Amino acid sequence: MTVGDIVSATPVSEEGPLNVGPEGAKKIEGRSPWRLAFERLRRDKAALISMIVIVLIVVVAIIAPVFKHLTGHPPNQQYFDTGLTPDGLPRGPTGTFVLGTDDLGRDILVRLAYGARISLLVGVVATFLTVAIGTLVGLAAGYFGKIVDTVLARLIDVMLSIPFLLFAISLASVFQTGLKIVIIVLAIFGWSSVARIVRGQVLSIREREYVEAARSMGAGSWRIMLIDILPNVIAPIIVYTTLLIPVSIVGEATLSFLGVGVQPPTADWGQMIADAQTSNAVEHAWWFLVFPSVALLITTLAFNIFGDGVRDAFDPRSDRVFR
Amino acid sequence: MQTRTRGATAVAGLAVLATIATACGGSSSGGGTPSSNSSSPAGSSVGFQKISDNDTGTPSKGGTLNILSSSDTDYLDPNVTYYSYGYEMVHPWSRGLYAYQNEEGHQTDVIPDLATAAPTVSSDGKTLTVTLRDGVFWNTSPKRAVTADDVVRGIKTACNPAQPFGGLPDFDFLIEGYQKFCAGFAKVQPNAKAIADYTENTDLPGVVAKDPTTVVFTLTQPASFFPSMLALPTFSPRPKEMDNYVPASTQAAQHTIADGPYQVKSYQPTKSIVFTRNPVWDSSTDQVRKAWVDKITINMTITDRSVGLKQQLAGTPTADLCELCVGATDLPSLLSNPGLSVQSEQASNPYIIFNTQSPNNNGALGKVAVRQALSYALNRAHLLQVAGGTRLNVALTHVLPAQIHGSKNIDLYPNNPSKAKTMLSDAGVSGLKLKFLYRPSSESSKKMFQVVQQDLGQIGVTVTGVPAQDADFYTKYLQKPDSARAGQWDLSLAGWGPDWYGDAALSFFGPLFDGRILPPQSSDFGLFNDPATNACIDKAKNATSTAEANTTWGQCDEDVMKAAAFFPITNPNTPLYHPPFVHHTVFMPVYQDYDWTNVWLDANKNGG
Repeated sequence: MTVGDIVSATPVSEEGPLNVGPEGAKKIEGRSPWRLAFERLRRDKAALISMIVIVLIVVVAIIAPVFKHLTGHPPNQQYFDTGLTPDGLPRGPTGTFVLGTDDLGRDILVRLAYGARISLLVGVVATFLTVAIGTLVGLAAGYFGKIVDTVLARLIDVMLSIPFLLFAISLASVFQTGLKIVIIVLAIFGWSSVARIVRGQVLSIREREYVEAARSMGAGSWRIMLIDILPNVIAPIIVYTTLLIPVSIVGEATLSFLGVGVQPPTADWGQMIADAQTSNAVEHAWWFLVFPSVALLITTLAFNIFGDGVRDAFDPRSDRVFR
Repeated sequence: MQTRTRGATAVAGLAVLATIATACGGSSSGGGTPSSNSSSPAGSSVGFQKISDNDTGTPSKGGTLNILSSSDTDYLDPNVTYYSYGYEMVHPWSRGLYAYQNEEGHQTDVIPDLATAAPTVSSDGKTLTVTLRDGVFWNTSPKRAVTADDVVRGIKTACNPAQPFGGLPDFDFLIEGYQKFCAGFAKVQPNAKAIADYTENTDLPGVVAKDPTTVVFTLTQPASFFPSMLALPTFSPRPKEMDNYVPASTQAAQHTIADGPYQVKSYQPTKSIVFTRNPVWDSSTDQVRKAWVDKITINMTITDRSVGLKQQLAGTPTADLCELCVGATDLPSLLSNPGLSVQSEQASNPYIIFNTQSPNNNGALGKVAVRQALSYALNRAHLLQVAGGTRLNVALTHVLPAQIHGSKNIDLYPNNPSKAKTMLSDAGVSGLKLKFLYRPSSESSKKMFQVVQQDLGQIGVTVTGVPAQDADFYTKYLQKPDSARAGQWDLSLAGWGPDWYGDAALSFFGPLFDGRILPPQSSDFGLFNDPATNACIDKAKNATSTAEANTTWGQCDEDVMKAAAFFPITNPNTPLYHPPFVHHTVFMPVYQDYDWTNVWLDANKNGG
C-alpha cells in the first residue's frame, strides 16, 4: 500500500497503517492537506535541491550589483582593450573576466547575474498575470455555466489554437518591443491553459454540499467563488504555477532570441544566447554560448523539478514521494 | 549598387588596384603573404591586403567548377540586375560592351568586350561611338549575330515598367531623351507584349544603331566618366527573342539566350544554376573570358557558410569555391594559407546616417555643429574592432574610398569626446536623445548600434534603439522621406558600393549627397540637402577633363565632411579562400569574388 492511497482522514505513517490501539490513539494527530503536502515535499530530495538552486538564482539576481562592484564591470560596459582581441573576438575566462566576454567585450558573469533579474522578473510577473487571468476566467466559466461557460470555453479554445510565436512576432512588429510586451504576450497566451484546468475543477466542486449550503444561506456568486470554491482548487493552481514559471522564462528567452523580446543592450539570457548563436565568434569562443545556455538550462530544470515535486506533494495518489 | 553581405560584416564591393600590385611586386600571382600598404594614388591607406598565390602552372582545360552559395541573385537578367552577385551570374553567358580586366592589379581597368575598342568621343564630348566585334553570335537556332539593334534594345529594356534597373539615376539624365523615353515606358502595362511593343516602336534618340555594328550614344552633356560606366551589364545587348518574356521574370531567367562562352543549362531559383558551354561562342572574339572549365554549377542551398569553408579546406570535390564563406573569425587561422585572399571592396560600408531633417530635439541634427560634435564623439576604432578588426575593415574618414579617382585623404573628426561635449554645449544643445534605427537580425547592425550608444553616452547623449525587421528597414523607414521627417529615427546604418570603378566619384556623390533627389529615387536617406554640395556635384559632373573632375570631387568630399553629412566607418575588405587545385583566382571587385570564367582546375581535379 502506498501513502497515496490514504487520505488525511485515515492517518498513516510512512511505515504503514498506524497502531490505533489505546496507546496509539494518543499519537494520532490531525494534519491538514497543506501540511501533508509540505511534509511530502520536504522528503523529496530532488525538489529540495531544486529549491536550493532556485533560491541561489534569486540571491544572484538580488545581489547582481555586488558582482558589478566586485569586478568593476557594469553589465553593459564594452571593454575594447581588455575584453576583445584586436580582431573583435571575445576574450576567454581570465582573472579579469571570470566567465570571459561576449563579442562586444562585456563581462559575461555580470551580464548573467543581471540577466537572472530579467528571467525571474518575467517568470514571476508573467506567470502571476497568467494565473490570475486564467483563474478568474476558469472560475466564471465553471461556476456560472450555460452561456457564460459556452462563450468562455470557446474563447479558451480559440486562444489555444493561435500559434504563439507567429502571433508574438506580429505583435512585436506592431508595438515597440520590450519587457512589457513580452510579459503581456506570455500572459495572453498562457491564461487559457490555466482557465481550462480551473474550469474543470470548478465544474465538479460547484455541486458539492458545502457550496449548496452557502448558496442556500444567501451567499452571493462572487463570495461563493472566492471563499468557498477557490481555496479548494488552489492546489492544482499552485502546481501549475510552479510549472508555468520555467515556461515563461523559456518563452521570454525565445522571444528575445528571435529579436522581438528584450532589446539590447539589456542583459538578458535569451538575448545573450541569440548574440552567441548569430555570431561567427562562437566557434572560437565557446564560453560566449555555453554560460548563458547553462544558466537558462539550470534555472528551467530547477523550476521544473521543483514543480514536479509540488505536484507530487499535492497529489496523494503519487508514488514518487520517496526519492 | 546593392552589395553582398556576410554574417558578421556587411561586405560589398571592389578590390585590388595598382597600389596592391606594386606592393606585391607587380606580380600577377601576388606575394602570398600579408602585406600592408600605406600609400595609394590618393595618398590614403588601402590597409591590409593579401593576394592569394596560385597562378602557377599551365592552365588545364575542362572539368566542372563546383560553387557553394547561400543565396540567389536578384535577377538573372543583364539589363536589370543591380547586384554584384547578379553581375557575376550573368557574366559567363552575357557579354557587355566593356568589362573589367581579369588581371591582378588591373581589376578595375575597363577593357572592350563586345566593343572593338574604347568609344570614340566627339570634340564636344557629347557623342560617343562604339563599334561591335564581328563573329559574336546568339545561341539561337540558327545562330544569329549580335547587332547594334540588340544593344539599343538592352538599354531601352533597362527602364521597363515591370522591373527597371536600379541604377537608372546614374545615366538617365545623361543619355539624350532617355528620361522622356522612360517616363513613357512607366505608363505601359507591365506585360511582355506591351513592353515589347513600346521597346520596338519607340525611338530613343540618345542611343542609335547607326549600322549593324555601330552604336552611337548622344549625351546631354560631356561626361568624362561615361566610358567607365559602359562596363555596367545593363548596357549589354538583348536579343529580340527575349521580347516574349517580362524582363527580370523567372520565365525570362529560364529562357535566356547566350552570347558568352557559357549558356544557362538550368536555373532553379534559390536552389541551383548550371552553366554549360555555348557551342556558338568563338574564343577569338573574347579577350575577357578564357572559359577554362566545361561546366559551372552553383549550389545555392548551403545554410551555414562556415560549413562550406570547412568543405573547401577538406578538399571536398563539390566545394571548389564557396561564396563569401570566410568570416572574420576564420581569418587568424587562414592568414598563412596561400589560398586566402583579402582585398578591398572600394566601398563605404557601413556608414552612419544622420537624419538631418529629424524634428526630434528641436531639430538639433539639422545643425552642422551638432553633427560635427557627434562625429568627434563617435569612435571609429571601436566600430572597426567589433566589425572584425582592421584587417577586414580599413578605416574610411571621408566619402571616396582611396581607390576611387578624386579621393582625398582627410580626417576632420579624430575621436575627441571632450571637444564633442564642448561643441554641443556651445551649440546650446543638452540632453540630446537620439533614436538609432537598426536591424536586430544583423549581427553587425546590432553591435554597431550598441557601440554608438556607449560612445555617445560618454558625452551625455542618450541613444535608444529602434529595431526594424529586415523587410521594413528600407521600405518602411530609410526609403520613406516621411519617416525621416517624422523623426521615427535619428541615426542609422547603411552601406554603399559604386556602380562602376575608377572615375566613379559620381556614383557616390549623386545617390548619397545630392539633396535634389530624395529616396526612394536616391540613397540620401538622411535627407542631406546642402546647396554648396549640390553645386559642387554639378561642377564636377560638367568638368571637361578627368583631372578637373577629380580635383572637384576632392573638394566636394571635403565639403560633405565639413558639413558632417554622415559618418564613414570603413572601406571593407573581402576575404576569400580557394583550395590549391583552383587557379587564377583573381579577385574582381565588381563581383566581390573571383571570375568563374577565368579560373582553371588542376588536371587531376577537373573531373568532378
